[in-house]
Amino acid sequence: MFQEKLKKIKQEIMTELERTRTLEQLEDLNKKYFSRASGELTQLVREIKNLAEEERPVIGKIANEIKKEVEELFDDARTDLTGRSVGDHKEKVFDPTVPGKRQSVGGFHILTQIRREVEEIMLGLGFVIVDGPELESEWYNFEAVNVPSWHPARDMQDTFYINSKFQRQQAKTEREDDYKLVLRTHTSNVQVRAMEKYGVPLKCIVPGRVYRNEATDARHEHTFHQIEGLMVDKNISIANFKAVLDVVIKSILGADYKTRIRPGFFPFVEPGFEVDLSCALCQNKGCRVCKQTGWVEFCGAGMVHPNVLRAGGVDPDKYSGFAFGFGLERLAMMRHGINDIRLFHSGDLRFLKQF
Amino acid sequence: MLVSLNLLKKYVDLPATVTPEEVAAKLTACTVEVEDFFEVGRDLENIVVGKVIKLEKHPNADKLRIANVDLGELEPARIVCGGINLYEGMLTAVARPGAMVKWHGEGELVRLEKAKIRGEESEGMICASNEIGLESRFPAEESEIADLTALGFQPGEPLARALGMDDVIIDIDNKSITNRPDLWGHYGLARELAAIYNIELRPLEIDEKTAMGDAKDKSVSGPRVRIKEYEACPRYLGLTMENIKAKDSPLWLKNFLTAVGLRPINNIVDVTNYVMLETGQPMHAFDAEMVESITVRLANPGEKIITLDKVERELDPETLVITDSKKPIAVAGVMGGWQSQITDKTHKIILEAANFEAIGVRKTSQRLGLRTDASMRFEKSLDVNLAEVAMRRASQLIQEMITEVQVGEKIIEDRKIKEGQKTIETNVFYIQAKMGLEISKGEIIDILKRLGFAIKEKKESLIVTVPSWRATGDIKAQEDLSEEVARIYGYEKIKPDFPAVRMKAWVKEGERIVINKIKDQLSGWAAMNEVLNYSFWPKKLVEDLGVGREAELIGLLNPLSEEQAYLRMSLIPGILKNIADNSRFYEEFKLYEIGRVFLDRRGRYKTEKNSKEYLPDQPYYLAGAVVDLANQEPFWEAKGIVQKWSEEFELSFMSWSAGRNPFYEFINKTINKEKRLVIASGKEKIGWLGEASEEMVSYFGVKNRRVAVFELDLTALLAMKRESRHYRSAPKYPAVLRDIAVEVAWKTYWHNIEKEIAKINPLIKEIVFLSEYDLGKKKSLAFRVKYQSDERTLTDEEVEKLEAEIVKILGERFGAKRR
Repeated sequence: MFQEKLKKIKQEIMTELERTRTLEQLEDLNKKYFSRASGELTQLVREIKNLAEEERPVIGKIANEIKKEVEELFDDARTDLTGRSVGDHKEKVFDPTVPGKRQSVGGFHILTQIRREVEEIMLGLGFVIVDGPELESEWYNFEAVNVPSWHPARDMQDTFYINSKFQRQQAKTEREDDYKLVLRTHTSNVQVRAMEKYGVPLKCIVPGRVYRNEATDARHEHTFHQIEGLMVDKNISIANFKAVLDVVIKSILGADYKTRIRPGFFPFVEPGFEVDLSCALCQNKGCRVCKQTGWVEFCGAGMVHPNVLRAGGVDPDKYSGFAFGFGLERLAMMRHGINDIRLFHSGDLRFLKQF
Repeated sequence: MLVSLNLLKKYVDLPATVTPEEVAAKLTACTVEVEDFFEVGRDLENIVVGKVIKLEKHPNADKLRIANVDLGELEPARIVCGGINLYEGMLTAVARPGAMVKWHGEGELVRLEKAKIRGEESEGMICASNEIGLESRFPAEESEIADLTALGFQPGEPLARALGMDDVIIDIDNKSITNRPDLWGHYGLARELAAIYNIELRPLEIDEKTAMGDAKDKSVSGPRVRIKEYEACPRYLGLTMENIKAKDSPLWLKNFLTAVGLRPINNIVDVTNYVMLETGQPMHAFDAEMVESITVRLANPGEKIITLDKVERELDPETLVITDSKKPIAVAGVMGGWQSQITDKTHKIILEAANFEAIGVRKTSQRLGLRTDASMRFEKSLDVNLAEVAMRRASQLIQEMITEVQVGEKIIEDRKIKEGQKTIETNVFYIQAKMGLEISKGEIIDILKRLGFAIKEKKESLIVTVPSWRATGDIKAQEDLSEEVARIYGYEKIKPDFPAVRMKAWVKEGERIVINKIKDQLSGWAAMNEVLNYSFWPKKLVEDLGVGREAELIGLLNPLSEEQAYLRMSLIPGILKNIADNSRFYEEFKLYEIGRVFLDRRGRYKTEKNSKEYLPDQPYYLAGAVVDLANQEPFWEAKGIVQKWSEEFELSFMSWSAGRNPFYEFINKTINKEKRLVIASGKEKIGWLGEASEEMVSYFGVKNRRVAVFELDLTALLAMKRESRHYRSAPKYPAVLRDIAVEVAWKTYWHNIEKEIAKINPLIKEIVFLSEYDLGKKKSLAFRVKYQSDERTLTDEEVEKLEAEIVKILGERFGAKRR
């Protein structure tokens, strides 16, 4: 019984010590428990003499141990708070090579870090950062960016379709297939939204999460992140795109990276490009990773298709623009040598804490 | 798509110095993506033609023999072999040490070594065709060796050369030609190479005798051709051939088809496939015995057909079919029928070359789940002119291969096609501006001409006529012309040049900035690690948590698996799973996530600009967790974190009484009934904080940990107006700090005590909680009060009076006793 009281008070002291942040608080605490007149522990120890005779030596011993232990804890706390040892005496030498006090640190997801780097660069170039919905209408995700209903990208296997009761009520239909919403398959869904909201001239990027309905493996994910870039103004050219792209790549990956653009087909651009990066593994010489070509695919891009400009209320006879989109995961994988894309959504601290 | 370099070279004379590697690089840079290229015979290295001279019994094995084989060297090689069809004088394939073979045609290729077999040295291996990847060309029974005797090769000759397999295959990424129907055949790619290298393109060899007929001409032997659906089939050509004998194709044709990944079947079918690969136009051959006349129409309800893959398929009335005027004999543009296929008994055929509308073929192919080489091409929108070219090319080839064939006098045709050519007007300045380059007019015209465009100059304008093979949707406007010029000119030659921009007022996307700030704090002083979880909830989770009853839960129509059955309504389950996974490696840690959740109610985004409809709600939520050992109380740290970062938002906590849930019913289950609070901003409840319930923690498999979590609706929080801080001068007079400890009942919440004290007197500036401890039936609360006046230094008496007031009031309200 008495023993339990002792243990309880020890537990209390320890809990309170942990909350102690200043020397002042510590001394208050010291007073509370050890004060000669009213200290709680002092009082408790005093009560030992009222115990039965056979109990006294045992409890006395335990009480002493606890008292000693608690006093040590106080000393430690005092050392922590003052940064100095209590018992200063001549033999003692201050060892500055002992590691500093450990700080607990948190961390940003690696994708947040890279995303911020890109945002920083683009803000510097005068681009604005725009957000948009992940659950999107077919119009903004597809039609508005010149992907008509018969295009292969609309196949059921590529797109997650959504069953929304709210949406059907709004559209006054009960049929699931009448009115479909999608999880956006690319950040290009924000192209027309941005043109509608901000008009031209427009320079923006859209970072965000996108979805593809496909099986996952080390190289493929159903959920990943993209950064879309869009610039619309008078007389925007392929040469302009090359200049902007160069800045992005070199700032993020380093000045040694080379880029090349080659024809590629995306319905929302004309001409469309595939942008390749020089393979980091073999320094552009050709290896297994780059299939001996010396290049790895990095991003899709092109000059904004007139139909997309029209959908955004922009006159394609007066304005032109470029657009690009790349995967953040891929960029991180290239820069940090990450070999499995599924790690990004694993929540595994052994992975996340490395960055 | 696999492309034979030899066939390309039939139409263009590439400069002698050009390597296959360079062709691949040029095509990639200017036209399409080359994924790979390889020599056809690369797997046949160290495999030669051998002639069996003498066969001996193997001394130690009944089923093996020792063959003396002439490999073109002085001494014949001694090779142990188990092949049952070996005979003296036989020509066969012999793998020498170093060759790559597939044992018994199974498994991976392995390198052959010199070996002793049952005690007898063997200097190589006599191969069955499936051991060296030639089974499609030399079909054989099990344990039979490839018999090449009939081919009359020289012993010792490398097999690849002997078989004419000295080709290079270029593998083109199909995705990169989805917009180029003209590149689904070798001839189209040859045309590109001609443009890229600026060399001549030779014409296709076509049958000059076979003229075009007229569907109404009754004098022609052969079927009548009738199209009932001109929209879906603008053109259909049929040609009858008699005195046909279906047999194996000549070696060159078999080699070609095998090299580009097709299985040789018989000479007729092989020619139709060859023509498809050469021109891009799919063809079909029917056994004319079964087919009197041809009608192209939509299928009748309930009609069925057994297709060439031997599957019976039920057709719906949207499916276009080829019929023999009674029943379907082919699914148009997708696959032929089983009954009318070419067999060894066939002696009369009808060749089909038609144009089917792209979207229809695509839909049919999707409905039937059948993608074929034909459907892949038709769904790209083929040139109507191509059908005739292909038909005459096939006629030419069949006549070359079967000399005794009797070809119908005329090609029978039905069609309704739009005549006329497509022209686009553009000008030099436009193309220059688009490229960002001073390219000359002459150069622009030259490039377009090389690609088959015709150009008329009209002052500054260029009137460009689009060739028919590019006019089906690929080239529509001057943007498309700028691409043609730029890619052939070479993107690498365009120099980077920054745009001259007009400045514009900056758009402040406030939400992002605040989210960044919150992340800075949580990953910074709060020492939390940011995680990202999937936006999906598995079916099992929804069932187990009873979330299915939530009206705002959104499901997916086509999830890949049950893992993605629903969209998340809360970030907490994801974080609890992270905790379970990580607690195997870490004792204590803190996680948070900021991401969208999805709720089936009106959100803030519209479905279209001028629509009255809105997308479902998808606010950003913030969730965090503090994980500690089971004997700790992480609640306080979680609360401390929320308190600290939310200072700028002026959040408050409200008690969360039983049955009243701020968000969703399932969250009740998630949180400990006692250790929980509602987070509010003003009067609006925007989140909650609490210890994860034992039930939940064990459901996710978190062991020996205590977990405190919080979650709040950031979008709602950010929508609230925040006021910027107003400066207050530092106090002029000193503050007095006094500690008080009172004994109160357990049920007395600190929150109420604090409120009560604050009301007493404006001189009370701050009340700081110090500690709570257990007095058995009651608890002790210690706190520090700061007294301060803006006008004078407070006296001891004043402070003591206030202190007494506090004790008195706490006594009255809560029965508190000072300790």
